[in-house]
Amino acid sequence: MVEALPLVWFLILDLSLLAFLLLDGADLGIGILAFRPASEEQRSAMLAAIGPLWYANETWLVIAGAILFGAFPRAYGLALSALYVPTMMLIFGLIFRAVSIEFRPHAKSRRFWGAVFAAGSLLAVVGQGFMLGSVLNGVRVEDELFAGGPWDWLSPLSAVVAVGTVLGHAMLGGAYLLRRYAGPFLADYRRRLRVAAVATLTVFVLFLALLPLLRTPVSGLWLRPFHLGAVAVLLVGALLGFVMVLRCAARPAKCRHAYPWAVFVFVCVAAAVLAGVFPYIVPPSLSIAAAAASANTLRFMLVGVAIVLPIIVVYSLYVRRVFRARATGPNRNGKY
Amino acid sequence: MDRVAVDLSRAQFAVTTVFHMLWPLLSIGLSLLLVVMEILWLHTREELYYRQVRFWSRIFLLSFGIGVASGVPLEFQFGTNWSRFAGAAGGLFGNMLAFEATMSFALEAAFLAVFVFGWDRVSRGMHLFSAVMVAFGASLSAFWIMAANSWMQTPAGVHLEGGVITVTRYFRALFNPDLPTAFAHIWVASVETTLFFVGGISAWYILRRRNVEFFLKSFKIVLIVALAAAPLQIFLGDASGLTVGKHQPAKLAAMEAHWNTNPPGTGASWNLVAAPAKAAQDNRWAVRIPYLLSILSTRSLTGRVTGLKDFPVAEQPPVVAPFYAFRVMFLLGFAMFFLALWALWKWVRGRLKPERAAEQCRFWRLWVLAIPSGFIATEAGWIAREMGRQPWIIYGLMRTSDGVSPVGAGATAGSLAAFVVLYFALFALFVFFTRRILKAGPDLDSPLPRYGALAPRQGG
Repeated sequence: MVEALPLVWFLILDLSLLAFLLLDGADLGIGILAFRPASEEQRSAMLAAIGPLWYANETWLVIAGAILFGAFPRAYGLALSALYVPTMMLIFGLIFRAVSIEFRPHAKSRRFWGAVFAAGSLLAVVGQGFMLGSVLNGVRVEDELFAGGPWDWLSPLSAVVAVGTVLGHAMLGGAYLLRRYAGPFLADYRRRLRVAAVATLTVFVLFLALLPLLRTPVSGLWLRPFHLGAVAVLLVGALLGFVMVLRCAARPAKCRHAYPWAVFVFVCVAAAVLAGVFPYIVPPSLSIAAAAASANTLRFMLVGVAIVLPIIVVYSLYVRRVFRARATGPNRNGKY
Repeated sequence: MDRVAVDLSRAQFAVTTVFHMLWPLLSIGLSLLLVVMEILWLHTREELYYRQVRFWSRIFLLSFGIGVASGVPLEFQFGTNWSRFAGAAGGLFGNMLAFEATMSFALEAAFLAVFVFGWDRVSRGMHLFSAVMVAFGASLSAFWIMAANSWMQTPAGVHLEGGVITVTRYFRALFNPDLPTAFAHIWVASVETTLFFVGGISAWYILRRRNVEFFLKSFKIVLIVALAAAPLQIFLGDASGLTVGKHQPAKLAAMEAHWNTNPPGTGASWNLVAAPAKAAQDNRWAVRIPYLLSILSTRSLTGRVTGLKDFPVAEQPPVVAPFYAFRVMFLLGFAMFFLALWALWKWVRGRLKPERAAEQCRFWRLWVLAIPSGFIATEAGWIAREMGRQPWIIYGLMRTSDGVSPVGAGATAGSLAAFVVLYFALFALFVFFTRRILKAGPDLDSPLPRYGALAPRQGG
């Protein structure tokens, strides 16, 4: 039981991170696509698509952060102090995104705040990409504390991962737009989705090609036989997902189905990352068990979460149902 | 180098907290006001109340947005800048933040969507329920944050084992001695701050003879609550003082610039103003009121109040800032109380009738001036509370300098500079856009909500 507790919490942590990655990831991806909209009206339509729900989606980051803090305090301190600069990018990006969405309807220059919205979304995703990239690179640790420098996060590998993360988010955002939206911009969204998917796939393949050449402290973990097998299966799954996204995007009748396949790509890649470094939470040295809080704490939190999480799921599903009707333009009540 | 890193991390936490706090103060209070207005609208079916909900919810949304955006850095700083604190105390502290995020923040954010965008999509009852959930989530958030913060002030239910905090009694840690008064004090502070914010904005319109009836309505609703909240807050402030005196005597002594323990049989005097000098371990000069400190903190004329000198210099908090911040807070607290009483007097004498209201220029100007009073008072109180806890990050258990991350001073200096610049800009933009909302005034023409009309259909 005591052995299983940290694993249960690691699973809960991964699921909340995945919720953030998929739900707010689509919002951030739309933000990246909003960098060069065909018109300011199109940007308004993009904002209307994420309008009611992006706060609730961003909540999952706060939840995941707090779960990491409470259940794996050592990993929280270690990872965030090691990833200081990318974490600040994520934070500042989210601030820019939030305030630009709030200010834009009141502003005379909606273009300016639309551009801030896009820049904020991009910065937040770049931060996430570098966070992932530096974790894959490995975090230098001495005495359970971060022992690297402030620029450790910047490396060729992490740069490739960051570019791929940005493009992947654009793909997810494009697929989500096609799912949510039924209006005059559909053809443009399909084109954007195709471009994003092809670009993501290219970087993805480049990353796979680079992987055997790179010698990082973490690559030893990936190369363990069983882990390598699991990672390979999941990455093939991701490739299949890419193909399906492109097939769906090619046909107007099918384009609504690109979204589940884009989600599938994200899930496969996330699972591959986790499977590759398992059982480490901050590779290559801090394991899930070593980072976990005391069994008492974990047990107590589990009771709380067992009560609260189902309630969250129920009302989240309800709220999504309320806004299920697809938006064709800016919502009247949204024009605050 | 190390000292600098600690000071920079502290400065960054101070800047981000002081800025963040402005918004929940407003959004907790406004969320409650919106519930009241929506109940009045559904109960009386008077259109005016619906317009009130829509008008104030615009400002609510703006403050909520900045509040969320500026709150995320606080959570993450425990990892980026205070990783040793996070590692030692995360099992309890992070746990409380996790309950905050899951129980309250998620609730608030989800139902906010229905509250703001759902007027035409859900029923009346569901819309009111969403408003209540937003308000409930906001207040519950404050509870968890205050539980975590007050545990740092009075860390009960734990013991330190090999540099790690081990929880022995969770509920004792959660409901630590400081929590009841601290939570009540900050919750009423956000209510009172919002009341004077809304009252002041209403005064601004009445002064300009714009929508006088509309804003007399909001002013009167706010005034009724303020007449209860302002005296209650003074009472809670006094109760907090007792708690601090009992559990954090060094903080009390610093807030009062009280250096020498009063000998038995004599009363401790209360310093109205003073020039505290830490080097001399005394005040250079002070204006005192005899016996008052003993009365305030022990409820007896000659009760013993421990002086700062009884603590080693290395364990004394700063004195000047807590001393003056504390005075700013309670002076504003009393000023707000008297301002509410004056308004009651005007009301009783019939001066708040629509036809006479705009004549009371001086009265309304004072209310406009009072718009920031609650914010300033609460920030001052928070500064006294947090600086008074120094040099401890967890009072008596862990020093602030032992909680900091091994992050270079350069990185922290960079992010601190970015926060300062960004937050000044955001504050200015908030004022700018709020002025624009105020100049536009309440929307009295748009169609009433078509509850549920959009639920089955597509589009909007």
